Amino acid sequence: MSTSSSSSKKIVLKSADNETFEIDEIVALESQAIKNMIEDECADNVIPLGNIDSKTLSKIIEYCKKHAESPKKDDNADIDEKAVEDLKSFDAEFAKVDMPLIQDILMAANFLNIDNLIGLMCRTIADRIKGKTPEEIRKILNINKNDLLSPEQEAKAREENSWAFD
Amino acid sequence: MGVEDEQESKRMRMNGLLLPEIIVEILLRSPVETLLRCKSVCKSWYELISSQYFINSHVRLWNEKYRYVSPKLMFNSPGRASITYYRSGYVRSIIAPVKMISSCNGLLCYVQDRDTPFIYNPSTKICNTLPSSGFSCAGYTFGYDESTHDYKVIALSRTDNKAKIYSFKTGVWKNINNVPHIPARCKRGTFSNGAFHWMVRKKVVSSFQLTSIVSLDLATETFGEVSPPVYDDECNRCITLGALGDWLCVIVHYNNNEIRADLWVMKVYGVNDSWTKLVSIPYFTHIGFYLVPLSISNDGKVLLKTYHKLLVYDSINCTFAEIHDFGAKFEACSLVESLVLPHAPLI
Repeated sequence: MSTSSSSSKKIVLKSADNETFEIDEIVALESQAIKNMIEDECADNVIPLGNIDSKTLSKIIEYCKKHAESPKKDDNADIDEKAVEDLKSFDAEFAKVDMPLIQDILMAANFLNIDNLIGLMCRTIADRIKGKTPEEIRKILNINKNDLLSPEQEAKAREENSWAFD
Repeated sequence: MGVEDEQESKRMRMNGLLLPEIIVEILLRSPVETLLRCKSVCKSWYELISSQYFINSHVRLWNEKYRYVSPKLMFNSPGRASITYYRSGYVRSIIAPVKMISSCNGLLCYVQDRDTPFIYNPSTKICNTLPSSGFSCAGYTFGYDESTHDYKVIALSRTDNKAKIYSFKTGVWKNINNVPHIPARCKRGTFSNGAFHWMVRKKVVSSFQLTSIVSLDLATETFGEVSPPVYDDECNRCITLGALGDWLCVIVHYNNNEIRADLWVMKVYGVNDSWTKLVSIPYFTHIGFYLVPLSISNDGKVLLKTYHKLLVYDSINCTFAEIHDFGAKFEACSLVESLVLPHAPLI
C-alpha cells in the first residue's frame, strides 16, 4: 500500500451544511457514483453533496477509508484471513450507532452507490427488527401511517402466521 | 441535543421514510420468522413479502448465504413421524408412517402410505398433499426447475421400468417415456443443478461398482448421463450419491486393505475434470457404512449421517465427534428456511 498520501490525487467533498472533506481519490472511488463522476470528468475540484450532512458524510468517509485500505478479495485469491477478520470487526463496530444515523448513512450510501455499505446497513437494520413486534418495527422504521393494514387485514395476517407471534 | 433536533427536522422533511428498494434489501436479509411478523407491519410490506418475486429472491440469497452449513436439520424416524402443519386456518397433525425424501429451497418432500408424496415447508408450516402416484412401490425424488419456476417430483416404479413426473404447475402425474434401466435398489435419486440423478451400479463379485450416473433434466424432462469420478481403487464396497450445496457428490466406501470412505464432489456441474476428492474419511471405530454427507463447513468439517448416528468429521484434525445417537434408523435432511409455497402460486 502506498503511504505517501501527499502525492496521491485528492478529492474534496462538500456536505449539505457546507463542511468540506479532503480525501484521497482512492477512498472516493469506493463510491460508484463518485467514480462515475470522475471517469466522466464532471467532478471539478469540489463535489457538492447537497443531501448529505457532515455527521453522516464523516461516517461514510471513515468506512470508505478502511475499505479502500483493505486488500480486495478479487485482487488476491488467498487473501490473508487476518485482513478479513479485521474488516469484519471494523464493520461490526461501525454499525454500532443509533437508528436515525443508520438510516441517514443508508440513504447516503444508496445515493453514492456504495454496495458494501448498503449491505452492511441493511443487515444491521434486519438484525434490529429481528424478534420485534409489528408495532415496534413500525416505530423503529417510521412506517407511513397511510400504509397501515385495516384491522381486518391485520387480524388475517396475524392469524395466518399466528405461531410466529408466540 | 441541537444536532438531534436538526436530524429530526431533516427526517421530517425527507418524510422519514426509507426508499422501497432499501426496504426490499432489508427484508431480503431477514429470517423467515421475522418476515412472517413483518407481514403485519403495513400493506406494502404484506404485498412485498407475499410476492413470488420476493420469495424467490429471498431463498436464492439464503441458499447462497448457507452454501456450506444449513441452518436447519430435519429428522424423521420412519414409521413414527408426527408432523404438525398449518393449512387454511387450522393446525393439523399427521401421525402416520412417512418417509422423508429430500429438501429443496426450504421445502421438504415426504411420502406417506407408500404412494402419496406431500410437500411441507417447516418454516411457514404450510403443507400440500399431492395426489397418489399410483405406484405400489417407487423411489421418489424432489427438485426445482429454475427455467419455469416449477417444483417437480419424480416417481420411479421399483417393480418395472415405469416413471411418472408431477409438477406443481400442472398438478398431475405424467408418464415419462424412454426410461433407462436403473436397478431397483437405486431408484431413489438425488437432486442437484436442475436435474435428478440416479447411480447405476453393477455387482462385481461381493462389491458394487458405479458405472454411470443417469440424469433427468427437469426443464426438458429428458434423460442423460453424468460421468462418475475416476476413483483409484476398483474394489470398492459401496457407493452413495448425494448433494452438498451446489455440488453433486459421491461417497466411495472401501473395505479392503484400509477401511475408509472418499468424498468426491463435482465442482463444476457437467465438467468431468472437475470431480475432486474433497476428503478421505478413515474409520476409527466401527461406525457402519452408508455415510451420507449432510453439509460441509468451509473449514473442512463434514456433517455425516450413518445408520443411527449423526457425526462431524474434522478433516483437518482427523477427528470424529458424535452429535447424536438416534439408537435406530433415522432420516435426515438439511435445509434453508424459506417462504416458498409448497404448491403452485395461487394467482
